[in-house]
Amino acid sequence: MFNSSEFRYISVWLFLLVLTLVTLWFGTGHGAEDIKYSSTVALLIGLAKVGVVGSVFMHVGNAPLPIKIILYGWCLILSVVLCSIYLLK
Amino acid sequence: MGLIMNQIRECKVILSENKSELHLPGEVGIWVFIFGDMLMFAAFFISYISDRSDNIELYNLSQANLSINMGVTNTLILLTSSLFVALGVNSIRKSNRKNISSMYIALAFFCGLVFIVNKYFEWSEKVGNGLTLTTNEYFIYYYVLTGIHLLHVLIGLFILAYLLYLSSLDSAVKRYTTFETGATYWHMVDLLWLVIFPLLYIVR
Amino acid sequence: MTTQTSINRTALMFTGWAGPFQVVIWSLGFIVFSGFWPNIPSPSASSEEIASFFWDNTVGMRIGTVLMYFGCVAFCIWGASVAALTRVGERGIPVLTYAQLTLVGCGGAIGAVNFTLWSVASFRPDGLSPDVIRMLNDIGFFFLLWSVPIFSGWCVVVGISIMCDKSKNPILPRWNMYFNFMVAFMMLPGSLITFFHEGPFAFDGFFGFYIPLLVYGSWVLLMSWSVLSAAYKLPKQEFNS
Repeated sequence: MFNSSEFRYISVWLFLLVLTLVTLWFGTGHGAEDIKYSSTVALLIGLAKVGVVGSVFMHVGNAPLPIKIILYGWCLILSVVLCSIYLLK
Repeated sequence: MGLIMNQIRECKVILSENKSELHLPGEVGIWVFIFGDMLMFAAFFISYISDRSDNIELYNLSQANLSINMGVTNTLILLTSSLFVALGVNSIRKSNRKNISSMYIALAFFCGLVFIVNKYFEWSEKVGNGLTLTTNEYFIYYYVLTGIHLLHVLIGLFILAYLLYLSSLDSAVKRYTTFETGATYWHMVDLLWLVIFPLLYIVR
Repeated sequence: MTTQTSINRTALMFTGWAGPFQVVIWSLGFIVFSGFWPNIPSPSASSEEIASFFWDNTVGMRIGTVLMYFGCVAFCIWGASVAALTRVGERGIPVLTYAQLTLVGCGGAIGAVNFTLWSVASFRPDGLSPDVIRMLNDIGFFFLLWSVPIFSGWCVVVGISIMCDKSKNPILPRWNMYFNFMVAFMMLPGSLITFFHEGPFAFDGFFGFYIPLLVYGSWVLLMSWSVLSAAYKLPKQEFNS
């Protein structure tokens, strides 16, 4: 019924749903005593999801190198900058 | 810039001939737009987290007024809409696609509508509780970030409507690049929310 | 039968160069002479502070506003070059060109009033109450930054005219359309300055001041580059044609 690329989209989507629920779990105070830990994890999961959406849905995974660098670089730089500012309060 | 564009085109031709399958979906210009927009939002995000660090109590207290469940719901809605868009565009090239691609795009459009309706309820509840744009610094960021994102969603709906129309035509396959372009924009809308959600709703 | 709209190469080059000229002369006036940056007169400052900003530097302010005024004129001339370029791609009655020209006129008029008000603020040191000076400063900044919808609208119209240009060799490339739509979005935070006296969205804040001006300046330079590239590709004028 579904071809291989469709199957890929659907499985990635399921993975992203799971990640979202994991974020919810962390976000509602489970999983860690320290709120800083949960918040950082939630933020990093969000940026990881961006990478996945970009890579699979936007086909950046198959795109020329400059595009990959820009998108993944955006995720990486934002992860570092946002987490540093947040953690170093 | 024209020379660079020509070189990129040549690269694409050579690479596709070599079957290494490197491919940039949609028109090059949409990626110009997307990266510019992402840069802008990155500035917003960094500004938010930086201003927050000067006023943590206020931000945490204000954030408590937000419903994480609503945020998660909206995240799931947008992720699903991205799936539908990906499936819809993918099915344009299938030989027996007839109504399937239109169905997927219509479903994505519907998801977008639901997102907007949710946002309306979310905002009106807050405004009803006296929490408006100028209430405090946190809510400035909340309304501005979600507002500009909402504007992107609205424009995305117009684009999806156009793609829906195109998908009903027999000549849809010839406009495949247009579908990819529109899809890429919509995925960006999803992508931005994936950062807005944890930043505004969860990080405390 | 093809009808080709021809443009005078020299005219296009002259008007195209008005773009970079506008950026240079306006920045010279705004920063070097008037001193509006880096010490931006803040919306959260007192009337006395704003009044002393204008009265302690009357000569610089007056020269600066004259330069900015000329920058405004260069803006109008340059705007015509962008409109003319998109005119080439329009078939029939050039509605989108008309739309652009009205927006350019609007922007130019606002600029002219803007710099006049700042010049008037320094015209009679101690002759006016500081509250009046502060209001003149506020209005000036509102004209400068809160007018972003005019320029956003212009970008959208340029983008649409590129979108409608279905010719084989469009004079403005497709990526330019996306760039214009992107710029239209990026300038929008300027509309928020009316809500805030301080913070990043106020008229001295990152999103209220820096983003609109930097985005606008980059847009002028990039569009000028597109205009001039198109101009340099045109054949040199033959005097007997």
